[in-house]
Amino acid sequence: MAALLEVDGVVKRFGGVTAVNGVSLALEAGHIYGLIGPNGSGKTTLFNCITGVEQIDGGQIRFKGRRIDGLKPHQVFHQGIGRTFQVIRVFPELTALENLLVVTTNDYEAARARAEELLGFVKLTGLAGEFAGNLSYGQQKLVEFVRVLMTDPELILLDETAAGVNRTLLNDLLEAVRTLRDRGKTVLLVEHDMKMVMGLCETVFVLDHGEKLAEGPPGLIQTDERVIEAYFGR
Amino acid sequence: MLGQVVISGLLAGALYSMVALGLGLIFGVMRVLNVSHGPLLMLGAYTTFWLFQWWGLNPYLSLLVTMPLLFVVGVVLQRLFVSRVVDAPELSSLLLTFGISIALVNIAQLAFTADLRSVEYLTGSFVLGPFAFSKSRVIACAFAIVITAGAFLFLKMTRLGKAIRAVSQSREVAQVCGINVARIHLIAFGIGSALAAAGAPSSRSWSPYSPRWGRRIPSSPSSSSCWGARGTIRARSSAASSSASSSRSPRSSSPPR
Amino acid sequence: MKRLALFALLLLLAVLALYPMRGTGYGVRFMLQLFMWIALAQSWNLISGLTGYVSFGHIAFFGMGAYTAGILIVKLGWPWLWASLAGGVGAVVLALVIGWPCLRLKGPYFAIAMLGLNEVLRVAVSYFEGLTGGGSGLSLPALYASVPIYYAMGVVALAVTGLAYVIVTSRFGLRLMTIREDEVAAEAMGIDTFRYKLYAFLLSAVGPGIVGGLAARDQSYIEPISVFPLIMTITMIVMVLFGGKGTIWGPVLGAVLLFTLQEMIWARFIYLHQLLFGAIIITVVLLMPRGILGVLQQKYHLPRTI
Repeated sequence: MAALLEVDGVVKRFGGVTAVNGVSLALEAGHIYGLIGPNGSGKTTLFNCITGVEQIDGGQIRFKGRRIDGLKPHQVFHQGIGRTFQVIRVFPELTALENLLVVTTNDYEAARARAEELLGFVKLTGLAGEFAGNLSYGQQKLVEFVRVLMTDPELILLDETAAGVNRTLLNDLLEAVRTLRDRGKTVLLVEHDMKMVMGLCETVFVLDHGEKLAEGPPGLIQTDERVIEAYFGR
Repeated sequence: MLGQVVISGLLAGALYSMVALGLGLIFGVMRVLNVSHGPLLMLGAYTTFWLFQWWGLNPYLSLLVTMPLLFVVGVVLQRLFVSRVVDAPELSSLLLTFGISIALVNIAQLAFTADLRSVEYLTGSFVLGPFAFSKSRVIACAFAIVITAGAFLFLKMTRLGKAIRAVSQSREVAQVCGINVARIHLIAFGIGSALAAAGAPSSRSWSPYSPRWGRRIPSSPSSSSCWGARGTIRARSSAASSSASSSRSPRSSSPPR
Repeated sequence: MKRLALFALLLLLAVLALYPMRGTGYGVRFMLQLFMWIALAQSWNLISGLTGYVSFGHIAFFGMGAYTAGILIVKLGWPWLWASLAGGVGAVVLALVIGWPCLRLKGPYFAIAMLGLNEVLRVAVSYFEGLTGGGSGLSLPALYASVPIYYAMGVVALAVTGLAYVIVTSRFGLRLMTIREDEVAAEAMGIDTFRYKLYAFLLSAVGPGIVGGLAARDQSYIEPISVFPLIMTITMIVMVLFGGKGTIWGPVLGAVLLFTLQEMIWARFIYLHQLLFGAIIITVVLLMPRGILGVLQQKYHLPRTI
């Protein structure tokens, strides 16, 4: 069975710096994957390449068998890939509900119903009419999280979802991610929170200096010498 | 004929280049689009005129007066107004500097009346083969080149110059390195204004001018400095010269309105 | 509360509709120009207030409309109403030609490009001298039509304000606002920002285009400097800022207040007029960038339809 997402020898350069250097990975549908690596290893850049925010300089990216490198971000989105951002990017002068409503192109009633359902899912129903800019950090994170789910994308890329989030909220998010997987969605998360990654992901990819260092189940990765060296030095 | 036009263009280009350098400096350091750059040049021109009128001061020597004077004016403007829009979106800085430019032009109009003035200083031309170069233009170009080179050296060699370049690359990092960014902004705006003033005696030795003229200047230097805005200072100056040269060709004989 | 507001609005419209019968010639012309400024300010608001893309040469559409209508009236003898509508069409075409490349530019570069546009058009008018009368301008056959033009301008002002209302209360409007809030996130959420910006830009050109045609008829004379002046763009912008960028009634409020103020000053302090205007610009930018309604909206949690 062909993989849902195939990243095939992707290269991305910024001037003299090669941020991503021939990285290849494949994601199968219905699993949770992790992407880890020390700072500067190219994780967010890879995300940006997949979602079309950055144009790649080499290699291919295929989603459901079709090439998506070269597409603009909004086109990638409509293929069925959603993402969150490392730094929260809600629309501050729109209400929480409106943040969700702008996404889908369905008829208004269906969209509204879905938005309200999603807000209920993360227990933010009471704040639906509040400007997103006025919400707390954690609440904004949740809004951004469910915003991605508005169109029911098949692949969800989460960029450092755990950053700055308290334990309780984090557990809710973990549960939400597991529920998504159970419904057949695929999730790829970039994380620094090792506990979260090891507890949640089925397969972990490790990047270092723009190259894939290792790939495998969490237990194996944890004991891989190369990975330990990349993070902690010799 | 073509050769003549090209050379005229290059001579003017050096001048625009210097003025654009001032604009580019302000934009690079503060991300402010200074629409009042033209009126500042105009103020420099008027200062030159009055110095010539009252004390017969050589317009080129008066640079020693006009440049520091406009430096101070620039610093004052920055301190009072521009500093507040340094971080704001470009709309605010554009509008603000536009407001300043209207204010400057109209104050000048009230103070100096709208009569046309001109400084008759260097007339006649150098003749070299088939080409005739107006003396004043050549001297103006020479001055412009010297001043621009001086500015380059300043930015590249001196500590202050390096601090300015640092701030234009990354304000936060410069701050963390102990550079007083607010002071750099003041200085940069002052230098930019002084460079505008430096254009005054040179450009105005061949045309009459009035306060309104100050408003026409922004289009040329701002567009040329923005072409180069993303690049280095060298890029900005060369962009300015090339655009000035190309724009001069059909209009080489008529002064700006 | 809403019904009261609606009733007040209808009453106002009725008064305005009946005004020409009692008003003086000066009064009618004053109101006519006020309507023009409302239409201009509101149109600018559509692109720049909602998407955050500052159109610094918006008056180009006014000039385009003026020349299109002027040429049609003079050379082809069109009636002024149809000529003005054609002016609107001309402006939209211009917006398409300009917007297609320029809306791909980011922030300050788009602003500068639009600034340059003004100058380009001014030169273009001189270049096509045979058609446009070049620097010496275009004279229209004399016609006293202040009252019908009053109504025409009023309708356009009303229409543009209505358009603003429809947009702000629709998802189309919400999406435009996301461009202002965070363009990268908007793209990531499937919004084709270029297409939305373009639509807003085209819509924002219609008002100035038609109004330009009407103004040309009203003045019976157009010349490049009078229809492409930067000062008019600045005035538009300051009116919107003063009243409240991104709101519906902000541009209207700003236009009313500033235009009235201008007329009062101009009548008494001719020389200080521009200086004061410069001071107003500086004050608005520094002290009240959100505008009157913007500040009220935030403070009292007023709805977006204000």
